[in-house]
Amino acid sequence: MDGSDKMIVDQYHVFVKADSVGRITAVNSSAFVSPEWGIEIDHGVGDKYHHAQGNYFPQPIYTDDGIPRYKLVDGQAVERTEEEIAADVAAIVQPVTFQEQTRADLDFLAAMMGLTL
Amino acid sequence: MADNIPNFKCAIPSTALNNALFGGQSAYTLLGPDGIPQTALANLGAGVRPRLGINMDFTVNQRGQQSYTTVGYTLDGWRAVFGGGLTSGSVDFNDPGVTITANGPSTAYLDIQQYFEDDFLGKTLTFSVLYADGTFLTVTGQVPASAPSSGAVTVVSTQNTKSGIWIRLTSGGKVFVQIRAKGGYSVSPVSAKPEEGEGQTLVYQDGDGVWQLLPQPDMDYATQLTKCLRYQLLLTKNTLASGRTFLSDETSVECFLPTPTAMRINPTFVGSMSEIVVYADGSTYTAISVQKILASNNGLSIAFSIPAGVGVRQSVTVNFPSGVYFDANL
Repeated sequence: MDGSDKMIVDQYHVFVKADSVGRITAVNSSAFVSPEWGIEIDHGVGDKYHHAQGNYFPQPIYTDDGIPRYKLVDGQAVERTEEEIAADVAAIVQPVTFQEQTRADLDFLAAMMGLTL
Repeated sequence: MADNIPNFKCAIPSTALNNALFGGQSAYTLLGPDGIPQTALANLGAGVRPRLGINMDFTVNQRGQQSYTTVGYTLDGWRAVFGGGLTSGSVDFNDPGVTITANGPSTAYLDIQQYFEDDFLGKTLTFSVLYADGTFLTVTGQVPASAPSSGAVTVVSTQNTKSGIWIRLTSGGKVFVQIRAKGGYSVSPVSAKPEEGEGQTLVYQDGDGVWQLLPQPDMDYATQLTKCLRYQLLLTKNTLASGRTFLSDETSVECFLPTPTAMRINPTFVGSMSEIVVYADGSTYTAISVQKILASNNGLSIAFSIPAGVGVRQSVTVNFPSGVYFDANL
């Protein structure tokens, strides 16, 4: 250890990462990441700030559908509206299931062979 | 408890032992006709106060370094801080025990501190430390009923030329203890005991005036490690967990990682996300960022993002590499 004095550190800084439209995709604390990691949104004392990754926000930062629950507005983290989250869910392109793909393949082959299934 | 206590003869018990352990009762009565301290301890039973905190014998070192030279956690539970113009210093693991070295002027210091989870506002605490050179320090003080408005205040402390020990209270209402090496000195604590109440139950003085450790119920390594895992879980081997992608998002994976003990709070994942590998239907994917960590009594529910391609609602297997850890330290 060397350098200047280090006194007791009680304050932790909370950083977030956001995507191109401001949706928060990750959160962490100055106890574990450097300021370059993200955008600072808050600071304080206690587990909420020290272990921000799982304790800063009252709910997980993603919904069970995998949609970001919070966003950055003027440097502040706010919860997204139900409408915003619903719009994101609706925008997800659902990949086809195995059965759907198999049926499509069969339909294509049948069409090529002039058959009706 | 008596089975874990070494069988050693005790010379005439000292006043300190008598006062500390026996609370005004006759030590001779408690010792019984055989004069063996373990008989006294067995007789006392719950009268021997438990140690607060974790890793007070400095035996658990999950981070695995032999020497720590930066501010932050060192051995499990013990965080290093320094000041006073310290030029260099280290916290060295002696397996067991620890050596704290502070280089610099007489004003310099290097402390190791441990914060307590429980609330001790208004309570009387005793903190005692035995050093490898036979030095013994102990303090007793009453924690204020309310936290200071800022910073940290000293509840009680004592110092000698080389070292010092403190009980302190933060503005957040958390009590912590600290052991100091002063500038120009190395000190080697071998055992410590914070406890509720007046009088210490860490050591007794034998017939030659030498401080001897009293057996503590939690002194074995397994018990200490179990306590430490509440605050930090290091994966020492590659660890597999089963999981699935989300209901409508194939770029989010959730898995359950069993833990040997409940962690204190939702912990922070510490390690390289890109080393977490997801196996799904013959393909592999690497994690990008943590989306959720929830602690339960028997494990951690962890969600993280991965590149697209797995498909929704797909079962996956997740490999957490050795060396990553989950941090719930105070």
